[in-house]
Amino acid sequence: MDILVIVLLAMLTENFVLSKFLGICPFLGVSKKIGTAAGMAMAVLFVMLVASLLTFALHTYVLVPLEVTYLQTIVFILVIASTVQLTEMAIQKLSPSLYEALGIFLPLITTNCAVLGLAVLNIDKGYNLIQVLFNSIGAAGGFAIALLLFAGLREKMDTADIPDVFKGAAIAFVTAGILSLAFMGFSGLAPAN
Amino acid sequence: MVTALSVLCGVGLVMAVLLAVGRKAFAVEVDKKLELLMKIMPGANCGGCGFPGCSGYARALADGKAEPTACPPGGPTLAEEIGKILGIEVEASEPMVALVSCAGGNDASPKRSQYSGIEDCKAAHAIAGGPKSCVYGCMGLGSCIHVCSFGAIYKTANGLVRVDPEKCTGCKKCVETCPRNIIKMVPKKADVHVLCNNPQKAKEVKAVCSVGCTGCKLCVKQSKAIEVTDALAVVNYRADTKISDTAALACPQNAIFDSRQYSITDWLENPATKEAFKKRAADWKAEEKKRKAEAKAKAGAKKDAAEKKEAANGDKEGDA
Repeated sequence: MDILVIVLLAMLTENFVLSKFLGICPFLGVSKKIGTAAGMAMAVLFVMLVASLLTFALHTYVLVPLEVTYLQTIVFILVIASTVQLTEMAIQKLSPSLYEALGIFLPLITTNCAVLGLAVLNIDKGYNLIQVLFNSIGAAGGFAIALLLFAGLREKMDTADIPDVFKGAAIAFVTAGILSLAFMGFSGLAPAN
Repeated sequence: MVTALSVLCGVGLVMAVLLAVGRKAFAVEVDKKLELLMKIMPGANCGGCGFPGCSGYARALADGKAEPTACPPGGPTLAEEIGKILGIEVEASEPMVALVSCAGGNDASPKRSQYSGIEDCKAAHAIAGGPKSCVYGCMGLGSCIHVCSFGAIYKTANGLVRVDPEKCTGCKKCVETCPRNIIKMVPKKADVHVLCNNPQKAKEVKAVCSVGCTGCKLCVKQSKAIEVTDALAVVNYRADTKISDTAALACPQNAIFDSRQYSITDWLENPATKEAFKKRAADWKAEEKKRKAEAKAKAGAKKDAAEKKEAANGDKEGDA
């Protein structure tokens, strides 16, 4: 499959957050400010890239030859959790302010279904190494787009006159739903096959 | 089976080694003070200090950006410990507690409509001002109970909520959540409170509640520490003067609560206490009236005497 199609598919039509509903927790949790959202998107991009490459390698060179593919989920979780830990340590050392801003959501990538979902999808779709790489970039890009769009909307909503009962999480959920509906419009982009 | 186990163990081992190396490579020095501060935090994460949770407060303390007295649950004891760690002198602050300034239960301020929505004051308040006839009074649906991390707020039998001052840590969460701003922060040692939140004039207040403050200012005559603004009496807790127990007795609406005379539970829910207080108040008022009448009679007598004297003087002058 054409690489461009893979990226576009992962980014728009099969957007992880708005079409597949993966990674909703950071999507709602870290989308109050654009700056933090961008940091989170970068962290997810890094974790997704590393995790999907690692899991792909593990699957191809360890699980398949040894015929233990049923261990997929548990091994993938192990790898992802460790990768996130490493990322956390690195960010804490290299950029304390970003570490501070991401707060609890950085460790939460550990249990972020978007990362595990990507790793499993890569295998399910039978992609090769290059395709896995671009699928990860596309998925992380899609996550970033959704997160940044949503953060932008929420920043605007801070100054809007919202009824008291809707303030906070309620209006955020409604907005997320509408955003998800809007992303359905991209489904026409997908190739027919 | 063996392959599966060895694969899992192998992957785990590799990851463990990687993490160990990473821990060394990306080691970050943590402030000793911060570690000590984290240990003594109450851990309620109530946000009463204005920082994101206890860890946020500890960090701000270590950076010198927060006052040691800012933690309401910790109180003066914690402030002292923080002072020891940071090596600074700490002045004790006066403990504050939340107070629900409404005494109009279902008996005093009846419901004007049936509300069967969710048990949430904000939601009820948004629907045409809520089910209570007084739109300034406590609806008793308990939004404040849900936000209280310390279980200090409870419902009373007559449809109100109360804060237990012994359990209250003064984190102000309930103050922020109450859509009608009924809950106020008061010094824990204060013993006289005006339990009404309705700023309307006497006629409007009397129409919706039998224990609402009408702004008659009779209490102001008894104590300088009570002020009336917008037809609502408010205790000035910063005033040093002690409020005499006659302030509560003087109130024609029984809207002033004096904790030196009754417990809050008795005051709000015990009909016997209410009757006893009403009798005392009536007796006091009668006595006051008598005393005033006597004083007036005395003043009148004096005036008469003075006039007589003057008249006599005038006569004398006339004679001369």
